[in-house]
Amino acid sequence: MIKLITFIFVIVLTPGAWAYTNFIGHSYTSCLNCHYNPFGGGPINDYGRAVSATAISSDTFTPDSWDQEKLAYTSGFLFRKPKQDWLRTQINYRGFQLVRNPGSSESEQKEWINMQFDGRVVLKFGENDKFIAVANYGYAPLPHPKPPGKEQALWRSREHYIGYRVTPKFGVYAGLMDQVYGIRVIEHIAYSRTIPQVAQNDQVHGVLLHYLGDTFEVGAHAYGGNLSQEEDLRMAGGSLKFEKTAFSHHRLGASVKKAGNDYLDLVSYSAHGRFNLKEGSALLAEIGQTDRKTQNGSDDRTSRYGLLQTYLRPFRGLYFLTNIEYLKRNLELDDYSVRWGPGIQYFPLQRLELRLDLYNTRNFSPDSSTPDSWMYLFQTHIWI
Amino acid sequence: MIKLLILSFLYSGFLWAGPVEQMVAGKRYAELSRYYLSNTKRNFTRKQLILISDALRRQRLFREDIRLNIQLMNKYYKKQHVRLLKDIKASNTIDPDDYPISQKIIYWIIISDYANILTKYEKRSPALEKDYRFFQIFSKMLVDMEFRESKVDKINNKVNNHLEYLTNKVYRFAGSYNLQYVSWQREAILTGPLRDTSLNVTNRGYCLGGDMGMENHLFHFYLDGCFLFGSGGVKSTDSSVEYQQSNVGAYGFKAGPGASLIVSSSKSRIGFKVPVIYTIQRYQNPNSTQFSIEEKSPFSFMTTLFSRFQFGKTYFQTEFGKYIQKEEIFWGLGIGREF
Repeated sequence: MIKLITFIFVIVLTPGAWAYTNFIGHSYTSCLNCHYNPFGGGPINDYGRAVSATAISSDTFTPDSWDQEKLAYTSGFLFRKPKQDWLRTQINYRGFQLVRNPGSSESEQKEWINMQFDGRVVLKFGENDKFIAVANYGYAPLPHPKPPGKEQALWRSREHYIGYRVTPKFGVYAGLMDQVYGIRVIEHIAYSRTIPQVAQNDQVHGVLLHYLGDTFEVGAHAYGGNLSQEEDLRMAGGSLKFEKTAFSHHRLGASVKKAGNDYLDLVSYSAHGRFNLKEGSALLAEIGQTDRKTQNGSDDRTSRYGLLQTYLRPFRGLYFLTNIEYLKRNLELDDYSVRWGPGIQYFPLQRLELRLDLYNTRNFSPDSSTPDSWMYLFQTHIWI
Repeated sequence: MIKLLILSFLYSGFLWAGPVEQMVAGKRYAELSRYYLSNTKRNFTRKQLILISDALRRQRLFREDIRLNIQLMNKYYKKQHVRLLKDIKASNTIDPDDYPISQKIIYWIIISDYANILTKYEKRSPALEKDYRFFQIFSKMLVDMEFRESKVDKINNKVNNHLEYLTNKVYRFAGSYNLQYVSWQREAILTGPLRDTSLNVTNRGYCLGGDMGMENHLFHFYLDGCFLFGSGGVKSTDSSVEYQQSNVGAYGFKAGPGASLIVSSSKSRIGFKVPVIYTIQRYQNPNSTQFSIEEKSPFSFMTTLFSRFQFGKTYFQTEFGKYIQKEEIFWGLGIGREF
């Protein structure tokens, strides 16, 4: 009875399940399996919802009488399989408690951040969703960088595009999307996302070509920046990403990106690997470099970054993870930082994710030794 | 009158029933089992043997039930059984229709009984291996006769999973060597005439060592240790006090027990360690004689969170921990190989 009450309580509050890059640990090498966007992120398709419900989320709080089929059935919007095939909707919220310098009587800072609150609509037609139109609108914090005096709406669309799968292997997409580059981890503060500027608010308007071979995957993305920004801020350019399946269940890849606006030019390149450690456990690694040139030369530098993200899944619904990041902000200097973040990610039910991350940042410099900085985040992610 | 005749006819079996039928009707299965086991040489009818078999299974007397069914098979289906065995041995094509359903049901009962016996074993033994051989023989016969295929598959999986569990649960010696890139901190105090100032000491270097212990498919208990070598910087945490050193050599060791939970078939694991860390690091005293460096105890205890990602015999590992009753942090990233 308690199980049922808990289940109903949480179900009322929670929408769909989610799919992440580390799900290569469940043998999903391509994001296209679960996402409408072939490189991941954004709304997940019916298959993705069903997988999330039956393989990712815990079934501890679901009624014993529910089998996998029932779980998959309730993974749809409003907890049922949609009665039509052409419209899918999703409401999504992500927020977290951020605490800097926890335990410090002098410098502890706490704040609740509403990171994301949006509604998504997908229109799809044709066999195997040959034609799709995806739109997303909601609250999102401001993108970076932004010169003083420049304003940006807090309520906006971060994704709207149309897509056409010419063949099951080849698709064309056009609109506002995340840039194709590197491993699309959800940690938007990751150096591998912020340094090459492919973080959660760096979407661009462009055209994306996607090809999924039997053992490889390629994406080519040409874009004119985010058209909702003022013209001088738009980062226009292109990127290319290639991945090859290795030993049948790992993926090795490389990316390159070049983009610029009136103030800044960036050239980034990286190599990455996604490794299936079986039964949901995975290891993600990326190393890259970004050359940055500013208009007046005041902040030119080459930065090098690295990411190692590990996921260990002792049982369904629970992941122990570690984020280990490296950043050498300027290759001409000897200083570098290492950020270490153990964490726990738990999907107690479909449509609910709870996550606790602890971050320790240590700076290394030949000329100084500074105390570590700390922060922890407790994140709640809910979606219908 | 007609009703009375019909009722008499229906109950005539019972009225004329022997002890076996009476015990079955009264659901006295334990009594029936005892009766049979003390009268195994008695000439029971085929129907009675079938009823007794059911009773034995209800009483979980599986081995006795196997003997009874083999007796049934030899008495009524010996020729067919021998022919089947010959055909299987010669890899001849078998036509399931050549064999009566009742014979197949006997085989099904036998493998079900063997499955119940096999899944009760708590460790592998010669007796288990013998029972498993017979289980496999009868299971193969049913597969070749295409009888209750999905149920036979299910029962095969259940038995094989259990045997795999019995193999995997046994603890075996496990050892490995590894090299980690590490960073660790130390406590030190700059003592002065007016006040003491704590120093921030952050080292980086390498730790070369290994681990030895016992592991099964789920748990790993071990002792691990490594030799630390590296260097670090020292700086006052108080910006009004100028004291700084770079590249101060540091050496030592880290050792202690640990335990892990193995979470995947690739043997990746997560766990914790409780090591002691000992480091030697000599700081240069300030020029002024009024100041000196006080080093805290070179020994510290830590608790660390540990994870290992296995690729065959080679692995990659991470370790992150905090000194007990201190603020200092240790972390390490390494590669290793099992021996």
